[in-house]
Amino acid sequence: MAFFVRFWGTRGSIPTPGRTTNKYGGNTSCVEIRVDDTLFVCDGGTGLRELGVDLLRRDMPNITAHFLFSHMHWDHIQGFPFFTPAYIPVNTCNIYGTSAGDHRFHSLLSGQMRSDYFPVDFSELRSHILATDLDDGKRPIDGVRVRWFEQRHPGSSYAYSLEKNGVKVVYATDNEIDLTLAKTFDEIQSDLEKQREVPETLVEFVRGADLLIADAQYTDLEYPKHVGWGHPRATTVVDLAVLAGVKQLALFHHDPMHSDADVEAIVQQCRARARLFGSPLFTFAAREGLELKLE
Amino acid sequence: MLRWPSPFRQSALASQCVPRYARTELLRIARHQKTPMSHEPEQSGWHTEEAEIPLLQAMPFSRPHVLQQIRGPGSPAILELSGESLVLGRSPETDIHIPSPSLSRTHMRLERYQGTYRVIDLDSSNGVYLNEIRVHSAVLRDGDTLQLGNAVFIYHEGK
Repeated sequence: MAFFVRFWGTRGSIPTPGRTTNKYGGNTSCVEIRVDDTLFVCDGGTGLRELGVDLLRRDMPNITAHFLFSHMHWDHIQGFPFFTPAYIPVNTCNIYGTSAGDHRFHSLLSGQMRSDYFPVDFSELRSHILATDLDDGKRPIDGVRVRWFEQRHPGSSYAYSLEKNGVKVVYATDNEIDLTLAKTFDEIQSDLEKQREVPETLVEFVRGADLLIADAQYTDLEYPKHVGWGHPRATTVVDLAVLAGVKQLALFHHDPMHSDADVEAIVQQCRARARLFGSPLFTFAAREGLELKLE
Repeated sequence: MLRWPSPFRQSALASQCVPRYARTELLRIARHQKTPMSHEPEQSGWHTEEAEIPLLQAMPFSRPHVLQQIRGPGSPAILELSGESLVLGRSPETDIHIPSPSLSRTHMRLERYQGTYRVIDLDSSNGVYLNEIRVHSAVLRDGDTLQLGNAVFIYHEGK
């Protein structure tokens, strides 16, 4: 048994095609997680289109995709109308809510395909698109335990933890952890090198993850101008990962203003911070086309 | 003599690499360009009748994708990549043979993917590292560093 994690879209907010983002990619959030034959899709940003194309090339009689949406902001759902498998009758897309009976995401997802926005109505998708829920983590999906955690983001967002046979992957994007810290913003600004006190509930949710995929949109310098926008400092995410004993941290949801060189500079800052705390944490930037195997 | 923008000043040898469909496309472009744009001066030299011949002999830049081996047995070496699929490993039967005990017999496959190459770890013992990250697979970009056992490569994307 192994987890295969592949990044199809790593950019935050808006697609950023172009030469300066060629390495880490310009598509918005979409991560494929395969556990044996079970396919999870974390978010349906523009990267989802290429995932759909790739799935059709694989030798699969039918496709069942379990969609875990962090939230419904554009950059996390825009790829869905272009997800070709959703148009083919033999396939199934399960759209999960968090608590029992929560079908909000299914409802909101269909809204973006109303005729005012898109030429094909949601009802015209020929695959089985089912509204279901995680029942607060009590219902395993093909033996994979899926739990969720409510995050700090305008309109709210959710992190997901997937676990099976001792392997744990956490997908946690669009979370302004900095607004949930024990100390005030001003107190932190006066000593940026000091480890930040991340809420224990979040640390516990992430604890021991083999891989944490986390929103790391801003640098320490940028963040003061973006307080309340819903995204954290990359350095705060490092603190979370260190406190939770995470093995690998994938910096995700790259700022649309960041070039490949900017992303690489953030990786270096984050690695230096982990070293400062004596942590063996390995940090890298998520990039399109990168696939990890965890076992 | 004709004046062509520098990318089209290519050797006759290079022009042999232009596939038939591309030659047709170049001819189409040449014919299209015979009509000067209204804002372009006619004496620019871009749109003369004779221009078609050197254009057909020319080709766009063609530089192969390359793995530059900078460490390990056989280094330094320049390995040009061609074909849809290549296997790299310790076995002499692989397409790219690296005689090192730190590599598996068939260690990694390179596949053509969207104009570049994608690498896939073939369940090797020591793994495939892309810029320090142990990967199962990855789409290569210019300047990437690959490490397989004690062999280290830099990928140079062709054009």
